[in-house]
Amino acid sequence: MTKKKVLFSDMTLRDGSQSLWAMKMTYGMHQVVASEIDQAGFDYVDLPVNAVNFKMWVRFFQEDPWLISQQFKEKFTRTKTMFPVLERIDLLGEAEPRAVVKRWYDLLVESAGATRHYMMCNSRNELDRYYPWVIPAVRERGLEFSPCICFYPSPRTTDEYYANLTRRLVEEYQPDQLWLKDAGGLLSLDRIRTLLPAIQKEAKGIPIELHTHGMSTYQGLVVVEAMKMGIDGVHTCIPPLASGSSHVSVFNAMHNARMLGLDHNITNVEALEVVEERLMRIAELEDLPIGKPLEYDHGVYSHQIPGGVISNLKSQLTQLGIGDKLDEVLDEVVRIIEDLGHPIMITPASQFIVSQAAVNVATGERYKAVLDSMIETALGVWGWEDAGVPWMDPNIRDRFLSQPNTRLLRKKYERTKEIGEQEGSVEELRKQYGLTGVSEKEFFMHHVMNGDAELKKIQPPKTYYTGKEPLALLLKELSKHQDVSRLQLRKGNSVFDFRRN
Amino acid sequence: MSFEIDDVMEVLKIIRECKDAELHIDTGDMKLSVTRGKVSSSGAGFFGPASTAPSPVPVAAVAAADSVEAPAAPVARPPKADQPAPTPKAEVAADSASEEGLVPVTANVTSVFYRKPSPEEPAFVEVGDTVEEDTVICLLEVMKCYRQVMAGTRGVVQKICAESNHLVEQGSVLFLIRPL
Repeated sequence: MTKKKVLFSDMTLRDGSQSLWAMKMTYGMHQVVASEIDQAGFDYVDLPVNAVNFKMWVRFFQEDPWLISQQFKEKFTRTKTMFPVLERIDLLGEAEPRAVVKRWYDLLVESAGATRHYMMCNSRNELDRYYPWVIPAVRERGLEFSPCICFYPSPRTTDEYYANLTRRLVEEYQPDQLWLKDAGGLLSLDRIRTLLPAIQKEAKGIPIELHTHGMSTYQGLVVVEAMKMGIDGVHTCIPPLASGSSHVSVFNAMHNARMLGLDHNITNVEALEVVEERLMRIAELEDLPIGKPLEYDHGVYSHQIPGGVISNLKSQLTQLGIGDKLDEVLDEVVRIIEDLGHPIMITPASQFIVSQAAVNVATGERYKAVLDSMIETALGVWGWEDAGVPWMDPNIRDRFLSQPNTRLLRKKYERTKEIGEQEGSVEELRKQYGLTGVSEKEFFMHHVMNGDAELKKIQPPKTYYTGKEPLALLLKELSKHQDVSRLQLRKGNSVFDFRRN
Repeated sequence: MSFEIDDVMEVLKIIRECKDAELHIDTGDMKLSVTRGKVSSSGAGFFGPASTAPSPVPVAAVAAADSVEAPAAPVARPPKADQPAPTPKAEVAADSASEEGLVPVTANVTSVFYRKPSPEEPAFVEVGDTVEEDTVICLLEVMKCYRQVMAGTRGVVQKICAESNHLVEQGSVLFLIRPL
């Protein structure tokens, strides 16, 4: 009898880097690990090819995103790759006509060579609002499509809710795979035992992949339980970009699959070990964090803010002059979640709520100053049912909607909707920008970066080491020790003599 | 005893806390000399005093490492537009609010003050501009979330009291407007 096989997909470069290294993976870092990841046998590799990563590369590293994207295409020759899509280019940017967004998809696919797209379906009512045109556009391009079913525990997100959502997805869109996406790392052992069968029943044989972060600390157990229950795929990362608020380590997942008597798709463990060693070296040299399992914090089930974010939050609160009021802010987050009707706590809603909580504590009065994003939430900009609007406290909603800014924000939202419903053309936008003579890639970068000031600073990418150039490593280490005035080394006939005045 | 480059790097980390120190290791096969801080008169290491030791190869290696091998230093590079350097509160013209007839627009929360909708675009308003009550005159940012601030008064912008991309404290005066 053939053993059941679980398929692991790699999230290291996109979600691992986002969860633990704040997207600080550069061209050179990808260069020394991509081919090795390609050899491991993964089902899919998720690529950091999207407007947010593009902005990071330009703004913080002065690197050319198209070059990085192209590198993925060159290095991933065996493994299929994927990246996310949205109904616009940048969620927090201006809306574009649909033809512009579709051309953006084309350029990303052409440059990175991905064959699968994924998109959340229940964080901003995407299923009703955007799927009807985005999914056919993805299909027309011959791409596979995976909707992401976002898990978030709340009074209304019952197993029945998820079953109904799955049924709709399957009936209306016949996806190639389904993701069970636990971005908050909030799946418990009890919940996966009832939730997964509810989704499996409605999936009608469409493969389901588990995408779960590590905040609740149940991650390893949840993955094992899901594998026992016949999950088809699990998303993993390679250490040091695994664990913590990231995904389960591929090494741990492989081990546990074996313990359960399951086959898996990883065929080249040595390649993964090389990747781990190189990433560890990079982490050490660049002072980047190494993912470790978190300690249990019961707060993740109330304020829903992962430990990794809390340390960042602390420094932000200090800037606001309320560095000593972290606990008050976390309590306020819980109250705002209730006020808003339990929105799905995924970006951007989670960021809005944390920021408003900080404002409420800083001003000493709830909603004395209301952030625009709260008003937008009440207007439905960020979804309707998914954003909790029908269950929002009516008094608070009235308060948000009677702010002086509301009229302007409503107007902006209506304009955004109008633009997003137009087919339009790339040529029209080019004319509008006065950019008819530049290449398409230049034009889109101009659009993403809101001008060309930062694009002018792009430099050739810095290459990295593979961890096998000891002299370069020693010199790099020496650069951190500014008061070492001299280091001499002799080995056999080789002499190394470093001096600093 | 085997002694590799990795061991040298470990040695560097271990002696990080030492000040004005010298270390000499000789394992027969490999010799290591490290001077931290001031070099003593006898601190010539294995290969002669610092002032006379030839070093063409290491210098070349340093240059190569800096220009080719060394990776970008992401953590050291400050972001630009969206993460302004924290500075003290805005220059609040303490007496300016009392200037006769001028209406102050204040920050109702400690936040980062932006005069432009984005780094590439012109400022919302300049001194001398006429504004309506609902004219957006700046943005305040709290942890990546924004709040548009409107003039609240029909009038002429008389003074801009805060510096763009800088932190302003709650209550700081951002603009002074002369009502029309």
